[in-house]
Amino acid sequence: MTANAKGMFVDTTLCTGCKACQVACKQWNELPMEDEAAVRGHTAFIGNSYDNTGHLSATNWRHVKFIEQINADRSDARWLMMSDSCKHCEQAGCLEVCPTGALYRTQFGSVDIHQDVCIGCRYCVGACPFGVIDFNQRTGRVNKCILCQDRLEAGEGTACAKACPTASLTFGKVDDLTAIASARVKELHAQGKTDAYVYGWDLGNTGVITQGPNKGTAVKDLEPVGGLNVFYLLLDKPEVYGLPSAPQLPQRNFVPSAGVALISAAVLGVTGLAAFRRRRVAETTAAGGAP
Amino acid sequence: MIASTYLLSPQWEWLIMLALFAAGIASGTYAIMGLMHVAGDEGDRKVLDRMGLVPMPFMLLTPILLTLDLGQPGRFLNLLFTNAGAAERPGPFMFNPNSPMSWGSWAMIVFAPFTLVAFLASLQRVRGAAIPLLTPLSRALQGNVIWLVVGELLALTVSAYSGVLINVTNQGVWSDTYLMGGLFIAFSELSGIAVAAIVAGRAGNARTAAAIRTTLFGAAIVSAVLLALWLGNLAALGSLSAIATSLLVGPVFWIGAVGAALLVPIVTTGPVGLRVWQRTDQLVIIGALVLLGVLAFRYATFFAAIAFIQR
Repeated sequence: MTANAKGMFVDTTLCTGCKACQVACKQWNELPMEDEAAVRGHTAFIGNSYDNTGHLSATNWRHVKFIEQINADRSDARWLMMSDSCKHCEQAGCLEVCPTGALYRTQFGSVDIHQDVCIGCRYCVGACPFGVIDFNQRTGRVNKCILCQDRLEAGEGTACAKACPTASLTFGKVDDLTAIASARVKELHAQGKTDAYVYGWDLGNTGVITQGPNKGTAVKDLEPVGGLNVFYLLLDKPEVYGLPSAPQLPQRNFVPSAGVALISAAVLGVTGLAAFRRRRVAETTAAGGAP
Repeated sequence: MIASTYLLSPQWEWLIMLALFAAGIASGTYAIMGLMHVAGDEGDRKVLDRMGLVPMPFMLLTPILLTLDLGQPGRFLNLLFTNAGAAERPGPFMFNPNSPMSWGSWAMIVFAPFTLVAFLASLQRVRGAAIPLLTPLSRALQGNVIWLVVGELLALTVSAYSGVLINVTNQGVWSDTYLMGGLFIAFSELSGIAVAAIVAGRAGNARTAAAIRTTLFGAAIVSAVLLALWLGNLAALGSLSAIATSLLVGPVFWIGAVGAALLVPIVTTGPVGLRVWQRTDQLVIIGALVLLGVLAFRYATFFAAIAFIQR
């Protein structure tokens, strides 16, 4: 973990889906509305849920997910809600692949973007295992949550956490937040909510899902990509929340892929050399000489 | 509703695909020229000289297409020089060893002069056109072993880097395997041999054409093996449908990448007893079909990631 890293703990059990965080994020960061043509064409919003925007984007740096679990005979139902954003990974795929130095690690351990350095190559978009960072068609550059870098530099917390009326979002030092998360999981387990576990840091919690289609499935804390500075308390499998169960750094493929390329080049080279040698041998043989 | 998928597409489409196709022709042709330098003889000189005219224009086209995609030409410089805004980065040159795009940008920049030298040397041999100082220098460099070896390594890097680059993502199909670098190098070499086939066919050089036929057959077999491994890999991971059966990609992949780029050369340049299209001038058609097939391969691999998300 980055020393003195700042981040957020997202306790999904406290989220009411009010979207105050989403609005605060839009307001503080002066994010524009969705593409106007898409709004008029009714394609900007998903329209089949209270979850209007459906996913994070270049103009939605925070997104409140509404996950509706209704069983087949509609006798049982629950809503899971989760305020999602960039996780500010300890090993950030976006930062690793950036070829211009536009993405960088701040003094707070978060991942920010130098907008004037970004060239809009979109490599980071393909590299992010969470589908967070997105290309902004208007500016030709990428955008994502920057953990309110300007507010942090002024000694403030994030705008979303400030606006959250239920303390579902807590801003602070990651060390402190993990302690809060661990205590909260234990508290929930003591209440019989054994579903609770942490997605972002392995604090040693295990449990069993008690409700919904995955009832009975064992769960345990997950610490993907070296840990997440914005991490979550979840009540169901990560996939239910649109989170990957085993996100990975894209660099895992770099050396093996380059190795396969080298071997392929060598095989192709030998094949080509053999083709020309075969011609020489055939000509020498035809001329009556030794091959 | 359930929460949406966690992947976003980088939206790399036509311009990027065409840029990498052009880079593949340039690097593949240069690599095959190196092979012919080493393994060929004076009888291949006529074809080799004409091939020297090919890499430079395609290498020129590549950054034009890439900067068109970026929208603002000046931004391209941030790939090479550290922008004042990126104060965390040391030194005046921008290079991120963890980013295949950084490797590729530098490889292309350094490789470009090698294609220019080949072009100028060939221009004098083929057309008799000479530029004072530059042409003699180019001819001297073209005969230098170190120059040839370095140029060959750069050509192979340019051939491979885009495959490694899409391997080093978290996109479906692209990151599901380690084979993309190998596949891209194989299809770049196929496009280089296709250029050689077209040039030899047009020049009517039967002796060189025979060796190129055998080279093309060998490269098609190696590419087919790599492609089969790749498809098997995708099938094992459950992402084969994004390339094999999607309407966006499937038809182009099977007809173009498999049919034109692999089956055409295997059938037309295979062992003499099985071979159809024996005449030297028919190599022009074979080469053109292979080039179209390589273009189809580029399309299929690029759009497969989008097809994967759309599943």
